[in-house]
Amino acid sequence: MGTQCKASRQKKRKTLVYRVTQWKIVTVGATNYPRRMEDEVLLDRILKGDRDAFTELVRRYQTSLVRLARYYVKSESSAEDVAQDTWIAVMRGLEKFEGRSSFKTWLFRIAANRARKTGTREFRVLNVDPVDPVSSARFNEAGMWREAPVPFTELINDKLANAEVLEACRNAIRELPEPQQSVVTLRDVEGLSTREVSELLELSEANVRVLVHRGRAKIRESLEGSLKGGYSWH
Amino acid sequence: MALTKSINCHEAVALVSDYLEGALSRRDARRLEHHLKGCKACSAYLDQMRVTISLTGSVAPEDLSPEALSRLVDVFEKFQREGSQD
Repeated sequence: MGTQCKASRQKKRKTLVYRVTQWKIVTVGATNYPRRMEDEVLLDRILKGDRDAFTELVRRYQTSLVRLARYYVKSESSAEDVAQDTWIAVMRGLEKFEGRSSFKTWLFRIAANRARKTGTREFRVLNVDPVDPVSSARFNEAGMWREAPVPFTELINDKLANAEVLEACRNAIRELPEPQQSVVTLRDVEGLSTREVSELLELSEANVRVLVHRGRAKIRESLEGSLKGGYSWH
Repeated sequence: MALTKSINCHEAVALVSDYLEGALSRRDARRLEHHLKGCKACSAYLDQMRVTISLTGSVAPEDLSPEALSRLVDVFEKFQREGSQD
């Protein structure tokens, strides 16, 4: 009986996680070119002068480009200039782009190189000491949870909640301090590997992991807080 | 085989992000898994982190201001015109 219940719970959890992963497809197709259209297809169209394809590519990556640039330069406007220069470099180099790496990787490399030349990072010495992902106050003297967390998969209504939960998540990312915001954007939003992020930001992989860990912890906490505060997810 | 030294919840949550990255040593991964087997609360925390990562990878791109977008599109059109004149 107990085993059966456990199996049922696990099945339910798997189903819900699957649905969560599906949101990527469901929620981001609001432009003329749906997200599922490969970047490379858009690039072919851009080469033929398709303005809408270029607009779609800009929509996809401009925010992440500015965040990446912001890691190296001092102001938002400098970061936007770096992003604009990156797009110009993309247009100039597009015919020669051979697709040895993904377009995304190529794009971010161009941006990182330009940003490095433009500015000097303000925080050469990063504080990357591991920190508690959860406040110590939530554990008792024996290090056990005072109040157990509730699985998000049990709390999120899989059909209607998507937009609101994703908006809460987006706000949480927006509120992350640098350098966590750049690192989380590249690693978790754009899905680059830890190694790729470490190369773009000139950080060790261990430091990338610590920063990702901190950023994720803050986003998780923020989502949990939204839920506790009576956030309407249903 | 060495006995797995047990860890408490406070220690377990510190390992979760690296665990999901596949960056823990085998020993630490084993310790965490051993803890998770018997701890519903930490399993719930692991679920929260998985969903957090999944959600973060699913957020739509930020809406760009019409000005920012049209500035870049202007750059594109200028490039197209100049390119065609070569």
